[in-house]
Amino acid sequence: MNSESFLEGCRLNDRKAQEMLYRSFSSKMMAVCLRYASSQFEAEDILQMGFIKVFKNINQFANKGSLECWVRRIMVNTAIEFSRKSVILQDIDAVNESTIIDSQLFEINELEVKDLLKMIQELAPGYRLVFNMYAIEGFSHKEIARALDISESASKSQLFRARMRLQEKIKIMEGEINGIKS
Amino acid sequence: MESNHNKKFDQQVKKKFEDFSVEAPPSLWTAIEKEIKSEEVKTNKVFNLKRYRFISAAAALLIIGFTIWKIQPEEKIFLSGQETEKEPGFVHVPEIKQSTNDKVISVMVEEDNEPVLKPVPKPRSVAIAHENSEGWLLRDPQLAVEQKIDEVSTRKQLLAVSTPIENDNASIINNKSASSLNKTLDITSENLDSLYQEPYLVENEPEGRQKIVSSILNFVAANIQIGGDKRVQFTENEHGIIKIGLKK
Repeated sequence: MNSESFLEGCRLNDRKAQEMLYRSFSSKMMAVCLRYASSQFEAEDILQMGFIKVFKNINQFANKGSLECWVRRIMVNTAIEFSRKSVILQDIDAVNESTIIDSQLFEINELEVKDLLKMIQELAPGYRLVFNMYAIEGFSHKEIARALDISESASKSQLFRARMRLQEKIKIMEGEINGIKS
Repeated sequence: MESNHNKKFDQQVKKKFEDFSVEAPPSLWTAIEKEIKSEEVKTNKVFNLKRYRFISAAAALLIIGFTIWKIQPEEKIFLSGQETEKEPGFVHVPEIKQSTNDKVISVMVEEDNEPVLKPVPKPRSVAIAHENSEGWLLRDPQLAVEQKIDEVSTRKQLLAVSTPIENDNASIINNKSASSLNKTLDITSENLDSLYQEPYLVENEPEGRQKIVSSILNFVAANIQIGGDKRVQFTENEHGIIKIGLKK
């Protein structure tokens, strides 16, 4: 389905076109929302809010980039906004640069996405938010610091701890898998 | 600076999620649709208010103006009612009715002095007398009307008998005259009604109003009941001024 065909309809507030837009992007955007949420319900809330914003601001979409990227950006922004409200980001003791140990080379190719998602969801809300923004969305620490109103070093330390927790979890899981195999 | 290992780990995670998608529950679209609708209604409401704010302001002014105007005459009735103690009944009669009153009286007075000279009455109010000179001799206008009614009814009967014999034109003429007679009959009966009812209404009205206003206030006060046993009581005097008092 060509996105151009229903874009015009969405601009005219046509309900059918809006539904078509929703149907073509909802599952991908649900995956995005799940990464930021701690549960399925939270993810659904974020998705709903995100789509409302999309339909409200559809006239602001310039045909420069792809529609999917634009929708995704709105979804990410909605998720960040949502998480910011629920998370009180403590400006915890900034981790010294030298103490950031380079983690071992990790291979997660065998890991199932669903398991990885579960691990991310289990992270502390602050860790989850910063990890998502930095590792997957590609924000810089400066941008994260500005968006969440924290210091850059706090952003760095959150990321560091998030990554550590995640790798620990992966190790445990792999150990369990190996244990079952052997 | 991020280490290469960390970068690689991040990249692997990112890659894992690249083609990941999860089916959203079907109920979510209905929820979104509902919210869009309510948003649309909200914006429409705002738009309409903006558009019609002048009209609504004008309408509000009209309503306020109308209520003030509506209240005003009632007070006038009460005040003038006091003045008319010497001559009750005259003040409140509307123009047409008043004129009939005057004429009837003036006719009666003139009759007493000089029965021979009869003033030509105006067509509407004393139409009976104009047609039937005998009516003038009667003091009571009601009697005159009754006589007239009898006359008309007999005429009608005559018409009913005569029409089949005469030609079409004659019947039309007769019908016309009959209808005009009916009209005068209506007017006179109306006038009589007004003559006999008016004086009683003037005195009764203000008392009724007094009771309504103060009783509404008392009802409200009784339901609110501030301050235990003490009750606020509203009393209204004859000038329409409401006073608040305490009743134990």
